[in-house]
Amino acid sequence: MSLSKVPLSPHLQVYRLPLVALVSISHRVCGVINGMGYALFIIFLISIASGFETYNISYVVFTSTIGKILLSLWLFSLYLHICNGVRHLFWDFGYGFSGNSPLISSLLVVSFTVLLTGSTILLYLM
Amino acid sequence: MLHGKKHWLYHRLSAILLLPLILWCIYSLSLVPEITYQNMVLWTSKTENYIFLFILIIISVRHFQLGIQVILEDYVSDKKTRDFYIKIINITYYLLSFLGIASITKIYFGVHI
Repeated sequence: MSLSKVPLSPHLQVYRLPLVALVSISHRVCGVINGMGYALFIIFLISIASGFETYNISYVVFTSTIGKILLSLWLFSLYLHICNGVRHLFWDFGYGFSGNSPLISSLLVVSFTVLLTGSTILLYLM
Repeated sequence: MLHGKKHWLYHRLSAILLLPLILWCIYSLSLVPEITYQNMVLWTSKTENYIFLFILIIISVRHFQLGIQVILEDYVSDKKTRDFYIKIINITYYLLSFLGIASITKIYFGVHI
């Protein structure tokens, strides 16, 4: 394999990441997880369209404890990507870089994510 | 494959559009009393739900494709391998979105005709 001259991104697993960096890389990881969730959501829609018997499989999976745990984790990943995405939009317009505002906004992102995930689970999944 | 300025802009525009759409989707789904077959068919076949789902499926697939392209560009340094992965993912996700659209359309017209 011929390697181009573009350097590889830093090897993440060898560092103990500060919060700002942790939230930053989580944005990407969650983006990938959300993409896999997208595939699952499409399969869910296909199962509805396939009729009662096929849908029953989805129903059993999504109402089981493991299904609910997976759904909660997916919600967490979705909310984190949404909250951090909003922060990215602020960054795109040049806001939130000075002083310790990246740290404060990281804390805000994490708090909002926990709050949104927690309330969604409590209200609708319990 | 999109590059540079257009890629950046489409990624942000799709994100802004997805923000209300995804929150609507979670909220609207959470209002379904129990996810029985009948309830899910009813939910999908409501005209406004069908339209929103249609847009959500299309925009989120583009947003994901653009995002995964950035990740692959950062972590796969061999251009041929990278382009191959991007193409495979793009094709797979276009197929998925097509199946999603076909499914909700089948449900929608199954109820309305």
